[in-house]
Amino acid sequence: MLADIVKIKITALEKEHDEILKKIQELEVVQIESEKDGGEEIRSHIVSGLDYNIAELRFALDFIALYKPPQKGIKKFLESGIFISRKDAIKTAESFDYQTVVKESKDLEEQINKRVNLIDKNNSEINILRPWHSLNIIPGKELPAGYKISFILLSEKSVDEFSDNISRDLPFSAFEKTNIENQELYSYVIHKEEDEDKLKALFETMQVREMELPKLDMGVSEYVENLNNKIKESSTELNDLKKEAGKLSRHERELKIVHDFLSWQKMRAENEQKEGKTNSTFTIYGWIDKENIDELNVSLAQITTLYHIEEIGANDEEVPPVKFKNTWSKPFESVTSLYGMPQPSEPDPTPFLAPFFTLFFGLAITDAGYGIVLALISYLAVKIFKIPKEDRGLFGVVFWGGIASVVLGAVFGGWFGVELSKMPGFLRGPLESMQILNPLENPIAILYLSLVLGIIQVLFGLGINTWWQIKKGKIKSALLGSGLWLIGLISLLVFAASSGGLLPVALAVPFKYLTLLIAVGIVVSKWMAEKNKLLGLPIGVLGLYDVVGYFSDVLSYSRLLALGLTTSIIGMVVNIVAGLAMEMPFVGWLAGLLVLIGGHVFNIGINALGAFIHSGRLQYIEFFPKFMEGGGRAFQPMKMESKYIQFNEK
Amino acid sequence: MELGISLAILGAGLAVGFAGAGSVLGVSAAGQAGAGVISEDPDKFGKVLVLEALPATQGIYGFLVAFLILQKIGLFGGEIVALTMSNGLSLLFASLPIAIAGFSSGWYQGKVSASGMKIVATQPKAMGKAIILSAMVETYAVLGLLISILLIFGITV
Repeated sequence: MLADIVKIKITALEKEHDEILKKIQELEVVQIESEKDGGEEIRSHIVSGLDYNIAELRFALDFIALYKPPQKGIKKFLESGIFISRKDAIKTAESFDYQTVVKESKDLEEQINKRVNLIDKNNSEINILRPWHSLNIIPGKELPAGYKISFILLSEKSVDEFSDNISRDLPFSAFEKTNIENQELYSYVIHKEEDEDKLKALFETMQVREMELPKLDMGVSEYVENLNNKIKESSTELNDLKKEAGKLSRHERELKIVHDFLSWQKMRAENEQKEGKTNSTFTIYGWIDKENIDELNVSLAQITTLYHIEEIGANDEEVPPVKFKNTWSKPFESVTSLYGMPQPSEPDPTPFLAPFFTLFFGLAITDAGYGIVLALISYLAVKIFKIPKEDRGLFGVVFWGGIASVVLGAVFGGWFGVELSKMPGFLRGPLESMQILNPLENPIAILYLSLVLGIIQVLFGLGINTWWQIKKGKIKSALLGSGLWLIGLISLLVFAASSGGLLPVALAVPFKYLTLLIAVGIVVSKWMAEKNKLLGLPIGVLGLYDVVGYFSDVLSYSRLLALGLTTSIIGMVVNIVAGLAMEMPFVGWLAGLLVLIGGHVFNIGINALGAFIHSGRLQYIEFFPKFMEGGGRAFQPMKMESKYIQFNEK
Repeated sequence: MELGISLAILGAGLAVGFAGAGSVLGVSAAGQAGAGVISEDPDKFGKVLVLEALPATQGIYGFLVAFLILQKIGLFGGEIVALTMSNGLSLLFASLPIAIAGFSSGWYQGKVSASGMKIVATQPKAMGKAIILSAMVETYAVLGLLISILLIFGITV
């Protein structure tokens, strides 16, 4: 079912604007529309300001998450939303000084970055100086006038040759060796300034590299030790700072509440831009479920008497948004919305697809053991993780799909892929008494079952179309279109079944003529609908070609057999492999157990995904086009949309 | 060992090999695209993984058919069935639907999944639609599997 969405106009005094808008947001029943058609909306400075504040909060939350002491075990796993009442959330958000925490986070981040950079810088300096640790002079110390020093790196092999060259060509120089590392000699030459060019030339011919050393006021080893001490100091400070940052996580809850609180404000500010204003009044245009108008009236009356709600008709170009209103089939809205929303003028397919989807899901699993696991997991997940109501749809669908798998699995004798004849004695009797059919021995029966289900769903779809058009008053197009096809296809099926001996043979002849008659009817109705009567006849005849489409739609349901067989055979394979693993000496039982658990978990996972996707596909491709096009837009009321908070009140 | 048995083993090999190769191509194409999405937003790993896993089923279908053939000829414990040449050929031919359909649909489903990664990156809420687009390609592997299974069940040895 779809809700009856109507357009309303709310007018009230500007001075009560904020309170009224807050109330509307709290009720979550109105989707506000812009009063001006089209045109770019200017982002108000309020929205940008809120955006900035929200970004700051995001930064603080990310920063805290980085240094938060890790949560252990199951607690981490269960960490979900913040459960709080609206009133408490607003009170907390308004009284909490989040700016201070944001500032603290920023300061701490700056401090931490400073330490990290310092440590990096010192480390890279140490890396440069380390090979020079046994240098016996202080780099950068003043030399006697007219002398210079060059720190050099040369290959160990050429040391003697270099030394000879120096003493021959540069008599007033000293060549000192320091340290050998990786077959390279770290050394230096003290020379006269005027010999510089000669020395450079010598460096070049001997492939000697000159090194830059920082100017120090102490020995290299002493200096490196100083650096190491500095690093140690910074590391201690860094650890303290990180701990400090970790302590900020005590504010995490409040920060999250403020984050959501500001998001609500932002949403209101954005919606406020859509309003019409005069000096003393404002007007809100919006969509609302007709059922909720009274509730809105009551709530606004608590604020002021000076307001007016008026239901106005939507103009022709406006298409109202679409809102589901289902009771028992509510979880299956998630299946429909995966495809998209129906148009407001179309029927909601949700209650129609629910039984088919469940049945198909069950057929694609066909294992009672797996069904129990799926139903149990989806039930417990909702309870343990406290999944909010609006997100429970998928779990509900899997739950009912699991139940269907239990029933169908019992009927077809599927219990974790174990053949019933190999079950222990006390289970074998009751399980065998439930089994009606073994798909592995008689797959053709399941194939027929799948196709029959397909025929039923396709005809059902045509039926929905006929019923809906009649309901909308388009009786002629209902009867001449989908209605004619519906009767025609049924008549064709009766003819085929009676010729094949499934139904009394006497029915064959009358239904043959009925089918032909309806075929003529389909051609004629299409012909008459065409403006160009000459072209209309061939178009009408071509219309009969649709029967191929229905035929291939039905064949598509054969996938149910394939998917069901896949599940049970892979289950059997897992059991066989586990059996082989059990034969291993000593650790056999463990290996076997691991294969059993891992294998069956894998099988459930992959086949539940497949069952969901393919059951869904049968709805979207084979069922929906019979009676709807889709493409409606979802009703999105202004809400207190929250990232972290879940209200614990009704 | 009779030639019939060898032919049946060839059939099992083709089924698992070709369908598996299709999945290899498909899953890797989707995975490469998915890695790009994760580099932007690691939180989307779950969604990316589902989309990447879709073309993996062809490999499983091929494995399934191979298993059925090997079981049919009694290679898992028990006695090896005395297979005539024509029986062996029949089992070999029965493996072809899933071998061919599995190879091509696994490969091309991977391409659709890879394109679907863009949907996950920019419109994560519309991910279901990306899954359905990708699953459309799988249909033909399912049909191939169905015929392979029915043929193997139908061949009497």
